[in-house]
Amino acid sequence: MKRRRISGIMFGALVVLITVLAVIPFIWTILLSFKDNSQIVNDPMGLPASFDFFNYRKALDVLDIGRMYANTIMLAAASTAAGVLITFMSSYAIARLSFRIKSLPDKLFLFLIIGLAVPVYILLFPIYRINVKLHILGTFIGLILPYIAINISFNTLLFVGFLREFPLELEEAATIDGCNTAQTMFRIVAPVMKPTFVTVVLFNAIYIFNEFPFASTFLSDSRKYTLSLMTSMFRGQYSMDYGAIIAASIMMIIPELIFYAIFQRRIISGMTAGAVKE
Amino acid sequence: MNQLRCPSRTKIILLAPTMIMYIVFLVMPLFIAVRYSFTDFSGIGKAVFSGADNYMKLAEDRLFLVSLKNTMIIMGLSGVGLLVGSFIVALVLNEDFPGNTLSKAMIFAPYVIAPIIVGLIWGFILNPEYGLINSVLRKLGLESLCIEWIGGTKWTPVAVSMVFFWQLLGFHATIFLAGIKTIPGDLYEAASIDGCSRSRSVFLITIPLLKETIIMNVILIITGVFKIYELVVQLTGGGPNHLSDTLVSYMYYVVFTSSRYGYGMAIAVFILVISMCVSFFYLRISRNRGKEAAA
Amino acid sequence: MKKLASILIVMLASFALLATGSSESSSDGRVTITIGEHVANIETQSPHVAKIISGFLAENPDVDIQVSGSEVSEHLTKMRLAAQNDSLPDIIWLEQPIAKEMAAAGYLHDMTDDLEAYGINDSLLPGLVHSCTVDGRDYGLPSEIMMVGFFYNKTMFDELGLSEPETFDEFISVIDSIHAAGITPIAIGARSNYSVWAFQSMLTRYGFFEKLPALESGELSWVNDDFIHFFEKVATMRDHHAFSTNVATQDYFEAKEVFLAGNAAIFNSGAWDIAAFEASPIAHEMGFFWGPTFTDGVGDQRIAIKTSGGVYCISEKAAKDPSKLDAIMRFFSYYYGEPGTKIIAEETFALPTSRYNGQIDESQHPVLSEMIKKLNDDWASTKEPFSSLSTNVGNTLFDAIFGVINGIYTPEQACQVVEDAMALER
Repeated sequence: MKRRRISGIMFGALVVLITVLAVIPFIWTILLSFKDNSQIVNDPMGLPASFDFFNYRKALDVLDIGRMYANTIMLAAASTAAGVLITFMSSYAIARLSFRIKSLPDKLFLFLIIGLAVPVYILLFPIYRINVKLHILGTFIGLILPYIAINISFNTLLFVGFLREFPLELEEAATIDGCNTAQTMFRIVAPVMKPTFVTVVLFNAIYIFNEFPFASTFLSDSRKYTLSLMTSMFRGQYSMDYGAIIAASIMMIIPELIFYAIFQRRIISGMTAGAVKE
Repeated sequence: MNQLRCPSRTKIILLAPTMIMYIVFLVMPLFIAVRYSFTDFSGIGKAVFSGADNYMKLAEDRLFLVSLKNTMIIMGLSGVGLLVGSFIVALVLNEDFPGNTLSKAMIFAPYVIAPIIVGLIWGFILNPEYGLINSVLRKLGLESLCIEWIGGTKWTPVAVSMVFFWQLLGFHATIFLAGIKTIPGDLYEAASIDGCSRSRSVFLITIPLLKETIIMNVILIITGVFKIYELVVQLTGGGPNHLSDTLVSYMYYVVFTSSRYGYGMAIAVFILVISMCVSFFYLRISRNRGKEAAA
Repeated sequence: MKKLASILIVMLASFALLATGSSESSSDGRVTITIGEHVANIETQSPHVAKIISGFLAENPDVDIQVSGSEVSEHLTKMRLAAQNDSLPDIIWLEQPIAKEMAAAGYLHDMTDDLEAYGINDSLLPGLVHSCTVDGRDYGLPSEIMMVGFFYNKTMFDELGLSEPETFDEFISVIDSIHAAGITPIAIGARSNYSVWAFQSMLTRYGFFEKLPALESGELSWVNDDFIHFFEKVATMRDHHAFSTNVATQDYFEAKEVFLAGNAAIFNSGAWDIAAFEASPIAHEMGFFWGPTFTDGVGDQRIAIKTSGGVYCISEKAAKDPSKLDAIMRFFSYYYGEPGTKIIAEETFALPTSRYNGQIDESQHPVLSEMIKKLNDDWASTKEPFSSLSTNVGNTLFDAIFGVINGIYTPEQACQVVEDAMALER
């Protein structure tokens, strides 16, 4: 019993240590958001003189933050929903269905994960051209389509990987019961794969939420701007408003963390609901 | 392994949307970029074909070689660290304890912090003069351990590895966690009835059953390190004098600051090929080992 | 299944929402001018442009103006892509090297004749006429005065009994005294590699523009005695502890805060930051000097960069439409004529690029009036070396200067680095 308690204390200490290390820079950021630029640069360690929200007021003053939120959430929702749906379909085919050419699924898998190795900056110029050709430059569609494409590799890696870890029995039983492929996929497999779905949706949405290179290059109408572009509003050619940038970023991070925390819990509840037996 | 039969029409419907999106917005752009890597294009005006010139220049470009070396150092340091670290963090977070959700969110937080803030905060922490780490070391009388974390010519890749580790720990732990959650709980129950301690069951049950998750994380870490960009730009700006640049931050400088688009694309193609080769090589050996183990 | 269905519905709804994109409306007789600016927020970051536009629109009801802007590096990337795809805005703000490359590639309008016809050259400051030319033709109008040198903290100088230095020896002894007093002499940040303006002036005092044609043709290498002497002076400054100790990890914006908080004595900057200086606690204690002269320099030593910074250009496509070109030139006439100049000087308190005859209240605007004095002093004006080089060579020059400041390069190596970049283009 005593040993149990000691290991419990050690465990608690470990949790606290990891969390604190991760969180120090975050708390520091919050403290900095109450300082003016001169204090931020010249006295980064000191406590703020008072907890005045002037940086937040300035940020809210300059930014049309409601519209930016709406734009970003819409982009993230549309591209994530479409992306997750189509990549689940293709990953299911790759991981489960039999092909005449035995090595085809593996080749498709390798082909589809090449995207992971691509630094997005090399796509800027070509996708700009493609968008001009398709007459979608500067529109949300012109962002959503590349966003879907850019997440395909990540989604494929996760979906195929997790599908391979799942046992086949359930599906075989379903097929014997006369389910067709679509029914098996969406009624039998998808509910059991809930943790994977949650993980994929989470990362797709967060990626798009924070995405900067495409949004900054393909959008030119400030009414379409997304949240990640807001730091540029406080960065002039010769000036940088650190305080406002930090305040704006905190307003962007907090909802993301809440979103993460809520979704994270779903990973667990998903498991207790779907019964997986080996 | 794949054994479910279905008509080819179904297979085409399942695969087509992904393939079309992927080809139009990823593969085609990639081909355009590769084509430009054989030209002297500046980003403005006409591109003139220059053969393999750009690739020849790579071998002689001192700054490119430095950025390659830095990337490799980061790979060595943060690659192993992230894999082991995020696995341990996932095991810890898998336990039920008060404040679990908050812990998870906080550990994940670095992943969503804006890069410009990461640069600012870690600049304050790592600054050799007045930074947090060196101040603490000096107070403890460990003056000799004070290192020129950033701004010097030697230690910057180490500093970048540290920050990269901090930033991605929560990301990879979340993926591990999703994998751990797919392991049925009754396996552990059975093990504990058989008298297997919890730490032993990690090695006997968790790790073997997480094979695919480990593969995923390794691939993501490898390709992620080859893509490190914003972190370096915000932390050191590649300085002093590009000596802390990584492959992508150097490519970005060449393409967007120096207007040497063609040459920059050659660097990009190099990054792509090396990152792909390492990933595929790893996939191959891990799959083969899996087959041997099964046999 | 229910969840998937709801996801699908969200997705389809979003697509439907997005499909109703914006469409450009063009009613009869009205002209719409688009402007691509180099700041994301015109109202706060380029207030004079916003005010000039609204003033112009009030007087010209037949014209509409749409401004889109991004932070400068994002903006330049966008404009490169737009040029390549024939979708440049009508008026484009550009850095000079890129403007010249675009002009040479045929994307920009040759405005030489229009400038004469609309009399804009007469209202520009004499040194800023023909500020962006390719083969003797005009392609850009100055957006700001590039007037660079060293700002210093007068109170600190007074306390240490120092006066404004002119020669390099005086400069070094000033640096020594400041360093001896335990203060950072010059606040500077290598992470903003372009923040070496005063060093560019120093380079012109080693005959940069006299040598440029020979450098371009390859008759002369960057590794020549004069340029080595220039870099040696930078190295001497470094050895006398002239620069912030954290120069390698700092950027221009941090250096500025350090100087404005009174933690450094000297700051390398230019006329663009007048407003920021006047808003600072040391607004009334600020002096300005052009940077040191050299006994081993080449040609006139009392020369300073008093030139044009970024420029406004017209896209070739916009100029094909005569009524649009007329509207654009009318806008420029307003901008550079009396009304625009008055707005810049009297409402936003910046240095206008056109002739201004009014009076600035010295007690209210100490830095601005000091800069106007210096602008009209007896130092001859010269251009900025960066604007006469290609983007790549210009950036390599910046890196070379900071390489010496950081102690990475010897003077000879610094010359060699720039020479290698230039050799690629010969």
